Amino acid sequence: MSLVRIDDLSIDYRRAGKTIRAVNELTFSVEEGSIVGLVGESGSGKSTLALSLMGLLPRNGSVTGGSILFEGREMQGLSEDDWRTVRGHDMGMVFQGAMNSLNPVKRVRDQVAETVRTHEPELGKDGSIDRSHELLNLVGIPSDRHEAYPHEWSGGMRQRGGIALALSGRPNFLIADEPVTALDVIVQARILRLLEDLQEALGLTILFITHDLGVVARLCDRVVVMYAAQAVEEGTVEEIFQSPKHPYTKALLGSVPNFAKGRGKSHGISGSPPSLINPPQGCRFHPRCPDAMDICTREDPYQTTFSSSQRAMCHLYDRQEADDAE
Amino acid sequence: MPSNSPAIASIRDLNVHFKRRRRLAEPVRAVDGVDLDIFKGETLAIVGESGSGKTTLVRAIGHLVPITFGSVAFGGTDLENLKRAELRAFRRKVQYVFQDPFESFDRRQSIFQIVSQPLRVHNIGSTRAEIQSRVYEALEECGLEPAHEFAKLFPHQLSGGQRQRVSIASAIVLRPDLLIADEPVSMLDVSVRSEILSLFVRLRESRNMTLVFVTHDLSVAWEVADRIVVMYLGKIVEQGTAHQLIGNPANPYTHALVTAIPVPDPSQRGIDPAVKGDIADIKGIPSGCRFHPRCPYAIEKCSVAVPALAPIQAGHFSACIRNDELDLEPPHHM
Repeated sequence: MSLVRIDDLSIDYRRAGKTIRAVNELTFSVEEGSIVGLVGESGSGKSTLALSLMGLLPRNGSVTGGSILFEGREMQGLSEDDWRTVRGHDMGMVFQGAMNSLNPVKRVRDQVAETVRTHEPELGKDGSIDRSHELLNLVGIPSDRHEAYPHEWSGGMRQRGGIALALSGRPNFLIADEPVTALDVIVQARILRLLEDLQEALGLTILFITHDLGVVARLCDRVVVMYAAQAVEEGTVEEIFQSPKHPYTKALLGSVPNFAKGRGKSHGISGSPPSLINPPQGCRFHPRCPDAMDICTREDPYQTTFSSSQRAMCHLYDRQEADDAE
Repeated sequence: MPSNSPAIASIRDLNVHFKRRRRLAEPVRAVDGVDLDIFKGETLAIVGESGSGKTTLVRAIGHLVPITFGSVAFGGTDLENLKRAELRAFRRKVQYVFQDPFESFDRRQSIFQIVSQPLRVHNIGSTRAEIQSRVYEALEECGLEPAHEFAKLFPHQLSGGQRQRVSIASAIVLRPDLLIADEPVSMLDVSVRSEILSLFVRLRESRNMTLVFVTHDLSVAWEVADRIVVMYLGKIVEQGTAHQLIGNPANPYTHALVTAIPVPDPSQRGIDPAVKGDIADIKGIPSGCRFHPRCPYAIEKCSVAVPALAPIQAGHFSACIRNDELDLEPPHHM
């Protein structure tokens, strides 16, 4: 069953009288109990999507079309009061530097307890402190460090603390936006393992937003690849890594160094991601695409389905689908 | 492999310590007893987490931070003995490229002004035509063509990758012998990264330079480097060719780093490094081997004995007292 269904979603920002479409006609769903990776470079719209899922779009941003269903419930048009119960309670969010917003002169344990109390006031002071210890233990903070101040924690512990905060309202859906990007690889690997363990232990559903394909391969069940505000390909992690269809997915995979492939085997993509103020006509990837054809410069690509789980938006497969249909 | 070519820079027992604000507090030993030769024409990567001392080390090579003791020699001459005029010449021969191309530019300056500035500082080129041809040449070599068009632009009109190309152009316009790049691709998108990395490799060949690459990312080092040096808390823990280090890491710390790098292959999921905790706070340096509190292979002696870099194979060194007993399994099939 899908926990989250995003259907034909568009999000615009208004800036200096101009409209910038940050998410364009995006459709995908997140099955209950799965870890879905949302991959994209800067400006792909992946973080805007995360904010809209939490009802946290900045004032100049708004959903201009489509819908977001969470547990079957439409999230568009929720009042701020409704959002307050959804946020933290139904869904939690972990991001880079999640603990930077903590009060530096208060013990972490007490601050986690405060957050717990906003979700479960009936626990009272002692109950919320017990729950705070429970959460910090759950994310692997040794109990002798619970009463430290935020600055006394290392980077890895702070990220664990961020996860504890996100879990304080017992959500079943966790949005993780680049949560391991600033960490060194050893700490990163251990945080990824923690997320996997939590997913299993608590039955969490996780949307993992990242630019790092290595992290996706390590952690995720499914992958959605975004480019210039659109989803260009979607599939299981095996499909995306073993038989990618969209030229952007292929090029992105080709630009990641891979020890097994040997040195100097990675190739970048010429040019850079387009401006969303004035995106390219037709397929947005065509100016950088090695396989671009005439039609790509004129017409929007439409979706080709390759399996029950894999689809891509690319003119290369127009013919194939027509053939298959015959 | 240029290991038989002469050293362009020789570092001996280098120590760079920083005083701390509190008086009587132990100084921070950012670089602590480093010996290293950088060979002419090679690409050397210096890899470490933040706090490993890698940036301080390369700053000391360019005489940008005061040396506490030990020495750095460039072309056989100790930097401390350089006279004023020689120091000026040295500054021209060693150039840096830094991480953030956005911050290092004056946004009101055109690309031409940015790239020609080092020439003016060093009084190179007597005529405008001469300066212009050097600037255009550097821009073209960095892939910013047509150069006369790019020269007219301002930083905000460029993409992140193009801005990094401008900062590389302003480093090579002086035709340095040694180019030191400190995390030059860590701010860039993945798709842009490998183009910048191959630009460095091309320039090193065409300009006949020596390249030192500082990075926290072993996979970046793997892409560009002939040799890799791994630092941990101010000390070199392992050094060797890229193949030796990635294919067959000998030091438990390097082994953990290589194991932890997520590979873009879902069938190779999930070996976790057995390492505990975070990089220890550099203000309190552990006794003995600095890695021992986190090391899964530590024995009692590791908290006492300071390991020296010892040879494993030709060109491959590791600082671990258990070098001879540990036989760590190669983390990747290569």
